Amino acid sequence: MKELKIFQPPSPAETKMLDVAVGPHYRLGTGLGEIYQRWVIALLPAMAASVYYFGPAAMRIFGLCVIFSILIDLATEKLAPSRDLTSNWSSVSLALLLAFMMPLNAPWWLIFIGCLLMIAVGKKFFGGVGAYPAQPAVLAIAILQLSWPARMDHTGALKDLDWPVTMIEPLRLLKSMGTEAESYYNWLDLLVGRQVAGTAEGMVLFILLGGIFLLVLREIQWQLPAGFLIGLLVTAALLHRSNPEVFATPVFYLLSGGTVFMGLFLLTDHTTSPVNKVPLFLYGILAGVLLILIRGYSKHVDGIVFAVLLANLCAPLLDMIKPKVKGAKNV
Amino acid sequence: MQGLLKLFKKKPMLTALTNYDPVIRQVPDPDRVVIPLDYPGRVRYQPTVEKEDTVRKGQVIAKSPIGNSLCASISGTVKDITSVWTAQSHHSPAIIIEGNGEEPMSPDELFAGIDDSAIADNFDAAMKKLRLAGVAPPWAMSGREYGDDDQEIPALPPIKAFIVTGVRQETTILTSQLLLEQQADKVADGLQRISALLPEARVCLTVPKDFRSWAWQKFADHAEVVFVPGNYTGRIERELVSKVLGYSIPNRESYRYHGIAVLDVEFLLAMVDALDGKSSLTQKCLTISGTNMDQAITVRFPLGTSIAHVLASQGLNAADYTRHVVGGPMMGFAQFSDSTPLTYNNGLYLVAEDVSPFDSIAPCINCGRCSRACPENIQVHLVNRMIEFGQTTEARNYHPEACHECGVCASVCPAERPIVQLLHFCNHEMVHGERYNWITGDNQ
Repeated sequence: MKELKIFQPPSPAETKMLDVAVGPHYRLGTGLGEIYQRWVIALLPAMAASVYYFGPAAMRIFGLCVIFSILIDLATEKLAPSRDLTSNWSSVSLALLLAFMMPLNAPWWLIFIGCLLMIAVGKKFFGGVGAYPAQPAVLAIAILQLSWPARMDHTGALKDLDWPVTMIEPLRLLKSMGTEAESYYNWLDLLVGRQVAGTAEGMVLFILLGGIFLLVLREIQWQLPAGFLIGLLVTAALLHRSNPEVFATPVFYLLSGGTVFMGLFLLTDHTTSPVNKVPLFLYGILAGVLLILIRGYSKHVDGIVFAVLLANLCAPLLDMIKPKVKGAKNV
Repeated sequence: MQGLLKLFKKKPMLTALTNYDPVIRQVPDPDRVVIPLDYPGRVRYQPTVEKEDTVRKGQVIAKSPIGNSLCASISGTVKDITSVWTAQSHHSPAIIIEGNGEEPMSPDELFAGIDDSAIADNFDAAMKKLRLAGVAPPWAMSGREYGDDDQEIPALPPIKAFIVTGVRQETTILTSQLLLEQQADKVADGLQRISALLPEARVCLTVPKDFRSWAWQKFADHAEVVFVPGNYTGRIERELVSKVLGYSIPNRESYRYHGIAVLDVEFLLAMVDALDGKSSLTQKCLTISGTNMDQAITVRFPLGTSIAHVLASQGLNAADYTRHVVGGPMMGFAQFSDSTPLTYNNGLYLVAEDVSPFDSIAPCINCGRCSRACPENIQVHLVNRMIEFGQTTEARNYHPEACHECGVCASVCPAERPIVQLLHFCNHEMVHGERYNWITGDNQ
């Protein structure tokens, strides 16, 4: 009885309806582009502060990073088509994150290599946005720091600047002369970004503004920065108590270098961080502890990139902590 | 500038419709109705009429193996018995009737030979009448009326709980709550009859929260009243039923196998009509809503009417819309043709925007919106990628079988990934067969 009806060819009015899709038919339609545009907006306050302090030099870094990244993204897309498109803005947001950590006097070829490492190796090589195991900007900076340590030196980059503050990276001075170094710095200067650091990573207050923007939009979850803060402060406080000669006070660690930048922008990258509340919190704590250990016991001055890379590698493990599924049954 | 503002705006999930016309409008009888014989959950009817027979409105034209019947919704001639494409996206045999405008069959004639004396408290006598009237209540349906091998129907446990839903799952569908509001006395009467027929069972009624002021005193004597919030996640039927019962029923099984009957208010009213001997089930209510409609319209149409006829009767032009979704926006099916017959469908959602199919290979960026939105706490962000890359065995550890396919995850996904379909695919692979609320087209 049951036989297929032979359909007439659709009328012109009906051909429009052939454009049917699967449900749900109500979608918020946020789009990947919009997500990364929000990240770019969140980075704007710190960029503005950086341009205010450093002028055209900062603009040069931001501009070159963005232009190189987009060009490399377009080129790699032509060579090896992937599901990642330039139009989703992820390259722009990554380029700005990279620019934040570059020294102010970086030559153009260093920026180019950084962008190449970030987009081609860090992102596209693994399959594009959503597929990379480690935050590409951090990966690029880590490679640059190990390959050209002299070129990646922030103290040298800012030596011509005439600021009424100690013109040495706070953490470098801490490493060379112990906790005495703390007295050379004023916490208010550190907070507003008058410290020796990358192009914009030291603008603590302005980065905080952007981070709050992301937190309010629920783009990042509060559990991660909270865990990071707790891990960092508790570890630093314990070590400071046990060895006050070598380890500075927790607040000094928090305000110097790119600590806040790391907690709000590098760790929170969607792809490389866990999703659920408990894993996020643990991930934050882990990163905080790692950061203090690297700063205290390794030869690296500001260990944010290595702490982020190590934490990224633990993210899949932490994602195994899963909440109870309500309707779980044996099938 | 507007694009920039869009970045700061929080996007809303669908909430209960507030702008609607409370009057239920009657759709005139069409010239032609198509009545499918195959329904989701494996309910299949056998035609009792032949080609070129003359039938009258309300006359029984098909019967299922356990005696439920389908009634003609208009008077006319049986033009053809063939296979059609139904709104649930599967092929089904169907009876096509062309109208001749004759008088409907009188209820007395339909119910002739039925002993009315015992239907108030005798379950079997009441059943007989209901089945004849085409009101197939859930206690009559076994869920599956035939197995994989077309063998026997499984035995059913007695009914422990009877849940009447006064709220539909989809927020754009208002049929139940309008009927509940407008015919509250009749609903209370129906609940009373259920209690009389099933003295052992627990009777519950779900009611929208807005009706709290009056619903309590109206229904509290006859049933346990459960108030339901206006948002979509609070209305998901399987969740609601498990909340009422205190335990959950596996998604792939019919409620009826567990001694639970879930019935909509609309069918409760049809049941009261049938028990009173007033009419058989030939009409159904449907809410038409859409993205650019001023207000939602609720209509009552003869079963088997085409989408085009329903829209035309309300002054709407089918060609103005790019997508006609039968059901609600979250779980409905988009139709490729406006001549699809509407039967036991509750909603029609019209999309007028310039839509295009989403990019089926859009990458997941692990943002976790889906997992946070999931009412079942499934790790959607992991499961959907595992299935995409063929790791269904691995995905099984994350309990995708708990998925109700409610569509919340896919509707919040920024990459517009087909998450529901991926989970559906995985569950299908795992259980080697369809679930109760799955609708497949391969039951040849």
